[in-house]
Amino acid sequence: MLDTLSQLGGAPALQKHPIFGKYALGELLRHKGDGYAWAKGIHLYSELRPVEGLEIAQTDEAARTYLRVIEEYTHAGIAAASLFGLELLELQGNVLHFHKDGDNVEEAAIAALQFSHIFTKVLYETLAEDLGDNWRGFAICMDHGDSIIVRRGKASNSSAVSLGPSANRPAKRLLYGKTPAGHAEIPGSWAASLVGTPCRNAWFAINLRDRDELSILNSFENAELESQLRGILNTYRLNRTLMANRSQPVVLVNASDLVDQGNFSTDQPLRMRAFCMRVDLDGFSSIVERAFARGDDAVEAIAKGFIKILEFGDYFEKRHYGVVRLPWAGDCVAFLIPPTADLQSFRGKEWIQFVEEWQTFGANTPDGQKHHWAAIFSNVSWAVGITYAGDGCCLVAPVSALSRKFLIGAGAPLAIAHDAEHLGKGGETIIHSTDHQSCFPTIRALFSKMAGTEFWQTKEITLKKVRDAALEAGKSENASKIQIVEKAKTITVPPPRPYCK
Amino acid sequence: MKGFFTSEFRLTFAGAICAQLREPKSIQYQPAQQDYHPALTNPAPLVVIKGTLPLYQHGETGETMVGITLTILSDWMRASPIVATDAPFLRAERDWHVPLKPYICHELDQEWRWKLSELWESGTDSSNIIAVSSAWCIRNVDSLITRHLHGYRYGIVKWPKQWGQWSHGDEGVREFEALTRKLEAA
Repeated sequence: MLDTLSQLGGAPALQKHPIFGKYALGELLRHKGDGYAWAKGIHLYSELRPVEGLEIAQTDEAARTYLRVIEEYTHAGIAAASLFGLELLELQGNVLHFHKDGDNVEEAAIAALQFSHIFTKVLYETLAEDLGDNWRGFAICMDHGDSIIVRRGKASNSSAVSLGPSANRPAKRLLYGKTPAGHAEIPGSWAASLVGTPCRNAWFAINLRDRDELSILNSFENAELESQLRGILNTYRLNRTLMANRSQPVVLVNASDLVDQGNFSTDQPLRMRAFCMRVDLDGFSSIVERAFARGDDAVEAIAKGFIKILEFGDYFEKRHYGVVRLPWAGDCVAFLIPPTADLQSFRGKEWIQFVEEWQTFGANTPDGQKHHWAAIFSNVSWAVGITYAGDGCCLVAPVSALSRKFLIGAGAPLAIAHDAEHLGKGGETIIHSTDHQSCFPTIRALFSKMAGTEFWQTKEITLKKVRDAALEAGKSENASKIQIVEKAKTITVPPPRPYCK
Repeated sequence: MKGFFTSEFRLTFAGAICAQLREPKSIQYQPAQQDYHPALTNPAPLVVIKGTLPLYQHGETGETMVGITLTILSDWMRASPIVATDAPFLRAERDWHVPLKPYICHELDQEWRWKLSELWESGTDSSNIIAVSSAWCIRNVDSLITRHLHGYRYGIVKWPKQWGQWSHGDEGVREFEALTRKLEAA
């Protein structure tokens, strides 16, 4: 009908885009719309170690320093990736996530290591010198295998989310701080063929800055690519110096000052006070792994399902005033939630409604009932880490690089929520001791201390559960007993039963 | 003897209650009559205690504090203190035992009278009668205010059935009398 109208010149020319489709990875990243890629290759993560501890968001100066480092690091990463034929999938806070296509593990691994070596060499010389005491280096971790890369949204800031063990394993390894700075970790099984050192451990660390220790690093040298990377970085730094006078202050804003612009709650760097809620879909990795064995249809079903999960994430962000969603990291995502009620009651109880709504996939909301997000995947549940971390100071900033825009978040709430979420299993909510202390006593009693940590844990917390606990606590027999012993006789008084004429 | 104890140990009872409150706190005499002549003949019929009460009942840990005023009548062994509070979360409803804000109905007088008489008849040491009655009064006041706090915090708008209370009016008195008959029979 539309084609006919078009031939007659009666209808506007329409550009046809599939609603949802399968693409090659490069095409997916440049395609503006929903889609997925079934990719095989190396997932490589490079984590910039904190430059200001957890004090990043405390002052304007610290925030600016952090942003300068992260921007330069991102630009260097993107430049290096294009030189070495890698794709930058995502910037997650201070972690760059790359992908190197390739069925052959050894070939892809050598290319990834060559990239890692030169990237490390150049940045350790340029950024380290520039930052002096603020420089803590960065670490790299990688693995090879199948993965589903899902993209949702038309904007330049839409996430490219990687699903599958090959993306999950190195991310977890790196984010839990196991890889030393200046090193690249590869699966132990690769060590014999790649560096000639048999390794029985799960991971093998290569010190990229010590050529004496590992002579194979000499074979990773590539003077031409190194020189090109230095050139790109020098040009960027020159431009940055020219732009420096135009930089804006990173001001502390209230939730009420946030203005929704596109998918981000802000298009400027800002400091804000917020809870960080980090959630992880427990049980999902095994579903993805099974899908690879079952073939195309199963993989597409996973991609379609996960698009719905991403949709739920967007819905959650937009539903709550002032909430900022940070980019997905696989099946994990973090939200910054500014307290809306008075802080005492928000820390005391109100935060629970956010956890409950997320863990039930919004089942009690009209949209949740309409979209049935909870029924997308069976046997999965969310582990939640949530914290205000003392004063809730966070830094949120968009980082633009080439044609893409990434939203990053930093600060103590993000770091602590990450640690908390890591300790939790599906259905659990983990909070820090400072948050536990700020909860109302009835709620405190629902948590138990996790041995050897500063965290408290509970399972499937809901406002109804809290209310039921209050009803139980309010029974007359649960008031304190008054007993006085006199001459071996115990004097007691009746439990409290108020009376009104 | 009981009359002597009631009139002469009223301030001791008030002091025991006051000791359980936090600063700022005070005890004062207040004439019940505003008219000059009756006030002269009975110059201090009421003892008024004002202070801060940290809430400890039903799982609370003393972080929430409210201001309370307790008025102790001259026949305090027969009628429990009249209590008012400045708690901002008070639900001014008869079903929540706040028929008139800021007064709270924390105790059935018949029950108070019955228990204190029982203690007196059993020859309990007078200091123990003071200790038990003051702790009992404060515990019940704390309990009722805490239940209001929980109602406010957790969205409980109707007094829950599982929270003990006496029915309103004569029905509540009959319930209490039935209970005492049962206890005596046992």
